[in-house]
Amino acid sequence: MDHAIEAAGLGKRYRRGRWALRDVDLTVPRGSITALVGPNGAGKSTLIKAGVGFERPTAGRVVVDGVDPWRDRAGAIAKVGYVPQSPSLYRELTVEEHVRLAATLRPGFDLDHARRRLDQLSIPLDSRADELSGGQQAQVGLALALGTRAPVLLLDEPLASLDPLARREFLHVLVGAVREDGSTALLSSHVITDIEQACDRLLVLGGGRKLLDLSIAESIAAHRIAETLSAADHVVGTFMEMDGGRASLIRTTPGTIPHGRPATLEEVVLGHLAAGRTPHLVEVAA
Amino acid sequence: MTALAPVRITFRLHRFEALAFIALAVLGVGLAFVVGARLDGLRFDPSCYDTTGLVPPSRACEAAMNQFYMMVDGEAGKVTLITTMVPFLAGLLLGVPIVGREIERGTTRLAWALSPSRQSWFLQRLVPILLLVAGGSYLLGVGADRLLASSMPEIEPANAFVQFGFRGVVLAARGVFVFALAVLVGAALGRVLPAVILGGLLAVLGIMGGSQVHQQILRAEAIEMAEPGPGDMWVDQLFRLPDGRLIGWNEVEQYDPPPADADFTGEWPTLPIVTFGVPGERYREVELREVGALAGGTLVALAAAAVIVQRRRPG
Repeated sequence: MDHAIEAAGLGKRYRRGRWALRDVDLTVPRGSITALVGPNGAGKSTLIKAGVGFERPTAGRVVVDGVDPWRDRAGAIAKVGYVPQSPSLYRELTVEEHVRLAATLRPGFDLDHARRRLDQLSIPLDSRADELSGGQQAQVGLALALGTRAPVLLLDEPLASLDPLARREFLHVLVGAVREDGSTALLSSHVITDIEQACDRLLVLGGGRKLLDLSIAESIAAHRIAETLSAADHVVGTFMEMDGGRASLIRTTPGTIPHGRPATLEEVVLGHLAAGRTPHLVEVAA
Repeated sequence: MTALAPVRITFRLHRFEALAFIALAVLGVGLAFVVGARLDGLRFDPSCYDTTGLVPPSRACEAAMNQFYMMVDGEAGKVTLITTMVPFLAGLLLGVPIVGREIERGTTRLAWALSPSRQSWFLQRLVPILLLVAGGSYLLGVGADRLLASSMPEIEPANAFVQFGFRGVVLAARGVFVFALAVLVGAALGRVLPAVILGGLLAVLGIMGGSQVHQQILRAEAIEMAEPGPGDMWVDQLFRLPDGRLIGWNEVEQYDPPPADADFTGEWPTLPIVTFGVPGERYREVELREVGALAGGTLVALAAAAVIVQRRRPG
């Protein structure tokens, strides 16, 4: 099996009729760290929750390590280490009690592995969860996910509330663990700057649809800043060449960027999101 | 890791409510036995007063009676309030957080992603607290029985319907039923405060409704009794017509017109009165039936909560 996560025609519509995900086809290669990027409401959390079996797809299906989480939730949970959006720790319990709790809930949970990781980060095991900083709480969540020794890690915006130093440390631990364990990680985030160093692949969601699915290197190589229009052209901004000659507004301040330079990862993401939101601009610039 | 680790963690998560319940249960049971012992010490000879009221009791007898009944109405009444209310409140306040608080705080996201079986997570949380509520409520029921035995020496609590539902094993069964209902409402709403309010309302309605149904069943089972004793359950009083039919007070004037003479001092109605009741000897059997019904309701509520845990989003 080449892919740790596969989705085909995946769609999720909530009660009020809003589609959080629509016709999403994607594959996450085994052993990769894939960044799942998009603005709020893009469907990132919904996609990850569908992978843990917390959300039932309205259309299509998602398969995690060969298991459909909705049809076989227990089977899927056994293959997934999940880090929720907020750390979701029990404030009454100490770090050590969290590790023990995980061991009572998860058969085969590697207590020593989790404790060792926490020890490496100098997180005191006897501290209560509500005494830890946001970064430490996130690290505890990650250590619990890693202690499951699951082949697939699903991380739902764990960086959102962390300062830059804590983000970097979190990603450092994640990358080290994934490389060491040979697992696969899907990490949702809207902090684009941090993921470039940590992730292999980029998956951009916008408005519930997949906008881009490439390796980080390919993402950067495939996009160049192409042209700057003036106010006389009715649209002011910098445009970017993309696959198939499409282009998108990526910056509204006119023209200081030299033509033809490689786009940064942030520009790639912003360009695709802008294209997804304002397709008429794509037509103007193409 | 020992087998007790999940139990310890569950009690850590519900430490405040569990300790408060244990403290109140110990207080309630302790006070019931202390006040019961003091009432035993104040017990007076019932033959010192004339039950017809024609002969006034002696001063010593009256003083002893006053002292005894002041304690029954005072201290014993307050302790009875504790033994009655604590199982109800404990069931509510320990039941709602089992699932409801975890959903509200988002800790189910962590727990349900770690545990391949939500049902085993649910049982880990549920069983220790369920046993605590059942055990504590049972002890309070025993305390209430002890207090009743001292407050009404003329009855034998095991053969008397006095304070039915507020003592003994029925009290424990009610506490556990309220607990199960609270677990269900907490799981369904996923928020503590609304669940406590709604759970409390449903528990009151459930117990009152169940008691009404049980009363109807007992009415149907009532038998004719010459004179119900203090331990018997009085159900109804009817009049027997010469043809053997039974009528109530609302029909009696039709068959037995009241005397026209305003100065009449004789007995009316003249029709023979028939009293119906349930003999106190049936208490254990009726108690068992009530406990069975409450246990059934408890199982249904817990099964429904388990289904919700299995199906719902983690919040």
